[in-house]
Amino acid sequence: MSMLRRLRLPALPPRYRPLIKNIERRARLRGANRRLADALQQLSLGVPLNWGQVEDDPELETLADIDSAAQECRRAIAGSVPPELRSRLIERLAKGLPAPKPQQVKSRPKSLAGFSENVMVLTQVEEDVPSLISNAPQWIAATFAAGLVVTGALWLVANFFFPVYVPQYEWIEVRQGGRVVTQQKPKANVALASCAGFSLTSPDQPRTFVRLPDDRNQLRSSVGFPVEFLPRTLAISTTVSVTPTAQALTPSSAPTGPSTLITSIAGPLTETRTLTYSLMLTDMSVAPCIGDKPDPGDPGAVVKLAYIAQINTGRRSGISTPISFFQAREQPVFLDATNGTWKEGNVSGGHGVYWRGGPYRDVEGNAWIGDVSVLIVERNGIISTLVGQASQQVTEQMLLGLWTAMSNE
Amino acid sequence: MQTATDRFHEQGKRRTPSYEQDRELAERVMDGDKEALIRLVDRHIGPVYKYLNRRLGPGNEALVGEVVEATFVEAFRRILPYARGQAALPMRLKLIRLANKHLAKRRRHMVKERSDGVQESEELATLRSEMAKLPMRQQAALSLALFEEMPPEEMAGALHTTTSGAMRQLRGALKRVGKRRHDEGFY
Repeated sequence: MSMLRRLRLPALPPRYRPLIKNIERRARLRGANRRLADALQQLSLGVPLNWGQVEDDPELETLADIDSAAQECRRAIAGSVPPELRSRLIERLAKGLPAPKPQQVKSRPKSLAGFSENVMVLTQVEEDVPSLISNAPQWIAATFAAGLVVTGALWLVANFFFPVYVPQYEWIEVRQGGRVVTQQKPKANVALASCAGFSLTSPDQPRTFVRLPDDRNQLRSSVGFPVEFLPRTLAISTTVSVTPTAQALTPSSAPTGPSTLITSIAGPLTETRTLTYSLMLTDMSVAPCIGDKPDPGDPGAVVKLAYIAQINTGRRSGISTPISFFQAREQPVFLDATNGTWKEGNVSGGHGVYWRGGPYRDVEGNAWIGDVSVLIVERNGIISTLVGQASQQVTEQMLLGLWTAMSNE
Repeated sequence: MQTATDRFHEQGKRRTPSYEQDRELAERVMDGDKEALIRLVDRHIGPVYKYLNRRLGPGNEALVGEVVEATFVEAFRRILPYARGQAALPMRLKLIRLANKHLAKRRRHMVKERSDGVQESEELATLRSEMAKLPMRQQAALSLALFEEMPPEEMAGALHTTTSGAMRQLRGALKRVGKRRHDEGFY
């Protein structure tokens, strides 16, 4: 036996080796079944059966005989399904489909152990413990927001029901900080004159004045609008405080005419005084617009009357102050009221503005420094500008009195 | 005796991509997805219809439609193993098996002698008449082997038997056809 165990089989040639593929596919087929399976595979590959295969096997002989008919059947009949059969089948099967499953909704997290939502828990006294966290920032923010809302609402109500009054002028334009604070009335059918070398709409454009002889008639004939002159004297009664520390004038009465003296007793600590102004015309000049010389047909001419006012308070005299009086017709007059106070008013048929402040640059380009009083009045297209030093008793009263007296003459 | 179903369970080699697609579609059908149902029907109605049409021949279109409808209805009634991936056979073979079953129930409605003038060769017509006289299992085996060129393993699955059993059915069918031809003087 030990000798037999040492014997080994020689290596077989390849044709005797079993095919692994066939062993795996048809390991259980033997004999006639195996031959039949091989014949079917051979036919499917398009190789007809030979005589040696079918000689002793009647089944394979029959198979070889009917193979051509089978090929004809495979070629002739395809698998195209009638559409009505398909639709009918799908419709029938769809009826038996189960209802689509609803999408799973995330379940709410369950409460903690020992807590049931079905049990009502009454408010406990311990729950009224004040919060340990300060809510001050939230309260401040809420108050601030509420304040903003209330302010906005009030602003809307004020602007809607009580609109801001804006003075309207035809030719006067008041500016504060570069912003126009008055409204311009529409001037129908009026075209500004085109001056030589400058524009009437430029507020900072100084005018060049041509001095005329001291003849009022010549001045009237040199311009195209009626020129008015200030009265020679003006008396104004004012109530003056006599307290030891305060000597300021307190204007409290209306201006009067040159020959009218109004005396009133305001009380034991005040005293009524009468200020008399004597005005002397010192210079007359005209600023032409079109040419170099005054022309009655010049629509943009400006007249300047220079006065010296002598102020007589009754107790002392000798205060002299210059007053400039400009007149123009239908051309814009600008007032920069950035520094000081201004107010609108109507006087003797005219509509004007009084400003007290400084500095002030007049039409001629002269700089008035200190406390300056300016009264600008427009009436019937004539714009009059009175300028003087407020610190030298050229007050609002005095300018209004001059204007009123001039109008009554 | 070990059947094809048992071998499928053992080997697990037939879980092809086609099988996985069928499983996914069947799973969606179980969830009520109509689109998956349509795709699943379109995947398999063609081979089943072709098989029945080739086996029965011209003139049996009504019977083919009826069998196809009954086959798919029963297959979708039993779709749960496919949705779970536990089905033993691929769905195509399962459908052919069910088609054979429903065709056997309606064998008396089969038109054996065509009279509508459909053009087929005399040889094929003779083969059909001979097949019509065979038992149903032998008819199925012969049809699957000749017309569908199905391998013996798949024939076994479609016939619900072993590979040797499928070959025996085929050999029996060939033996009967040959004997009949011999008796009628073909040879």
